[in-house]
Amino acid sequence: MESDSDERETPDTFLNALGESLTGYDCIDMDLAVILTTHILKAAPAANAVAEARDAILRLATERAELPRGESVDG
Amino acid sequence: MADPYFLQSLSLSGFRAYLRPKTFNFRDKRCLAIFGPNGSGKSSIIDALEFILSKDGTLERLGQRAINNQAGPVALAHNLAQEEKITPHVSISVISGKEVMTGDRAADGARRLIPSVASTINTCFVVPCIIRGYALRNFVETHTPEQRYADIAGWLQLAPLADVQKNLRSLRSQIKTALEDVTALRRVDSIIAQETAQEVTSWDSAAVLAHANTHVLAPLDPTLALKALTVCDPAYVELETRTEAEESEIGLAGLRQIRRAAASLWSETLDAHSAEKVVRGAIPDFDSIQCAVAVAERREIEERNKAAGTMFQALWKAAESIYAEGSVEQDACPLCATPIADTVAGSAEGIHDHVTKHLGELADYARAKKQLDDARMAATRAHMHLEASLLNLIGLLGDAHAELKSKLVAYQTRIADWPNTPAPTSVEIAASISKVLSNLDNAISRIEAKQGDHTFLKAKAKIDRLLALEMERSQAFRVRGELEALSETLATMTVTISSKIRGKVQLLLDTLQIPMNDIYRKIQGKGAKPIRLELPGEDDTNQQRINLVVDFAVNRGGVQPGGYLSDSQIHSVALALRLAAIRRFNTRAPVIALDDIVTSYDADHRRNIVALLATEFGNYQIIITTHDERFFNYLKDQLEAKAWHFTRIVGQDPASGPRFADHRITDEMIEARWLDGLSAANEMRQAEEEWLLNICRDFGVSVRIRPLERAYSYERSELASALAGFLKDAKLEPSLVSGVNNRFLTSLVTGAIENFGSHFQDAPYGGGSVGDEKARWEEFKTFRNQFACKRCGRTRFQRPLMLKKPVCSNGGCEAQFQFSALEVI
Repeated sequence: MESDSDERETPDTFLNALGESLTGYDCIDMDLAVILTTHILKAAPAANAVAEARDAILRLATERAELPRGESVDG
Repeated sequence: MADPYFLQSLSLSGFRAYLRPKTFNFRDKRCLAIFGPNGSGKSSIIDALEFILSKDGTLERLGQRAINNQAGPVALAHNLAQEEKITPHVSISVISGKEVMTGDRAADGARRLIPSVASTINTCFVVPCIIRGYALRNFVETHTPEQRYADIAGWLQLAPLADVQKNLRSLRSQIKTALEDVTALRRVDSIIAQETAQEVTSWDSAAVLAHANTHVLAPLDPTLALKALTVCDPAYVELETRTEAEESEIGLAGLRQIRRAAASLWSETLDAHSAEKVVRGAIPDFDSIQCAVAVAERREIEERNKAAGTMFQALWKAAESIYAEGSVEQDACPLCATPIADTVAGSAEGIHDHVTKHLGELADYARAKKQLDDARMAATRAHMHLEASLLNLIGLLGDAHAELKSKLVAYQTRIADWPNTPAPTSVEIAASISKVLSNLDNAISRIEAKQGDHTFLKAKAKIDRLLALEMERSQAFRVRGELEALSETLATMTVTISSKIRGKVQLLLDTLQIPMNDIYRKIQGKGAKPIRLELPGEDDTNQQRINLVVDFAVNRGGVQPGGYLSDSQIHSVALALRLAAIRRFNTRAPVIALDDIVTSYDADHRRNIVALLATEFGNYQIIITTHDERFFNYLKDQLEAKAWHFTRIVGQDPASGPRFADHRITDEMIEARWLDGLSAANEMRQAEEEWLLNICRDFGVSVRIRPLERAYSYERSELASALAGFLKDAKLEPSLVSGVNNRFLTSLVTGAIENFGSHFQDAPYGGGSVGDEKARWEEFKTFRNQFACKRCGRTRFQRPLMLKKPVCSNGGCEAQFQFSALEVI
């Protein structure tokens, strides 16, 4: 029997850390990172997580398309 | 670290092969090995464990229940359970430190709720603790890399990570689909086709601009033309200015509306047939009805005078019947008794004619009165209509028609006083309306001749719709552009995420790969080629796969095991991976259930697996079922007796379930076989082996002639040879048993290595008759009896280290061992 000294990182912990590391990148698209963190990078995602993420991305694209030209966006 | 969980007991009742309650107790010996032929019910024990731990209260191999297939949970219960009124259920008792938890789970009905103790221990099983032999080969050969990934990801609790990768792929796919969606652009095309009367069926900026200039602006002003479809274009600015100017004037539509309102009051047209002038409208209608009322009034007055005696109407009516023709002639008036002859009429006929005349006058009056009432009613309606029409026209007239408006207001005032005052004459107002109508007709004709239905207002509205469409189209393109950018970013982020997940999975795979190969080599030998668990390449879009490959030869690197490894090697790969994962992750519940895992192994590999369990999993609680008797015997030989309980299923009792025997074969069991007319060859061989092992243990025979890497591996021939060597060194010589040639006994005497038969290879006993077996058994018993204590007759011995010969283990005897005299058979 092996020792349990090397406690395993749970998927939830790993995914949370992964989400945080994504938002930590300078060149990352923050809005998209938040969408992925909110809907996809979950140990127990919602049943319609993909659809919700897709709708959020489509909304984001629409919002950005409506911004006056020349206004900066993240990423 | 918390105390690990171990099973204390497992009870089955009405479950699978076990009709009557059967409890497997692990309190004294935590491990259990069960031998039983196929179909004897040994796997039901593993089934019970799987069932009570399962989330859905079923077994994976039962499949899903469908209509009429009797699959799924129905198969959990013993087929006679209902008839015997036994409630199918499984009970479990688990201990952690000093804490004991128990739970029970019904195995029939819809509510087969998992007991809390099972939920608790399930949290400790990162990797499923049950390993079934039939599933091992599937893992290596039948499973796709995707299924294998899902399995391993599940074992390593990476299922959420696998889901993340799957969801990311699905998300990327859906965004790609959204990018290809042209619904918004098709909508624009559909509307532009309607707006241009199908002249432009799909958006073309130049064509749309040309349509706007040619069909919308040019009819109003040929000099007005847009250079671009934008609100900044000078032509659009001019269009706005002219629209505002037009709105301050009465346009064509406004003129038409005023004309309709004026004509509803008074208009003069030519009859198409008679070519005569016809005057229509609320004013002439009202005038006309006024005349009709006057006529009706005059007539009513006339008729009323004629029927002056209307008050006598009842009298005339009553008299009519009295003096009607054919009635009884009256001599005197019924009222005043005046003789008829004395009346003015002078006779009954005269009175009848007089009555008839007056009744006729009354009828004429009634008609005239009704006509007057009807005329007055019509006049009231015409008056109301006239008032409404006047109000409508007055409301529409602006400063340009102030004169008419003033006249209409005056006329309206007088009309409002009707019928209290006489209706005003309409000649003057009709003339004014006629004049305005004429002016309006001229203005309308002029405008229609100039621009038709086109107005700047309409033109601007049309241009605005085209502008809105253009914006909608541009917006659709901008959204698509943004979505493309997001899709590319998503792809980049997906690679980043997948890479991290991949790294995590590979890290965990690495923690398994080394121990897996260690175990694999322990089973298959040092020369076994290492197995690699490989994720797809970094650039592979599908990362949810695990390839199991082996470097079989220099020119056969990274090949699929199925094509190169033997059946037992393939089993060993899967078994090694599962055991490595269990050892790595199931530290809180070191329990392993092995169900018939040695179906394809030869003798060496069976021994290796037993040695592996003894050396690597000595601290585990292991439950083993097997139909392989040789494997079972190896287990008995090499595993610690203090931790293991060995038992065998010797039959199936329809009234209760599997029938168990102790692991020791007794003389009675062998004789029972013969009584049933069956061969006892296997039982004899087993009994001989058990005796051989026991006597070797009691005598302290050294059997350390086996290779070190197979520390617990014994061959019975080795035991025989070692025992023979020991007896020779101790100058103890057993007597030979007379009779048939007995290779087993000879080997003991001579120390010759002999290979005995097994349950699947009956020779040398299998070919004999029951009579031969009985004779053979008597020879063995005769030989065995020599090993009884000469002093007390007991058969258990021990040999302290300082003694060369064993002594009786009976505390009151302890006589040095000597062979007893051979009994005569």
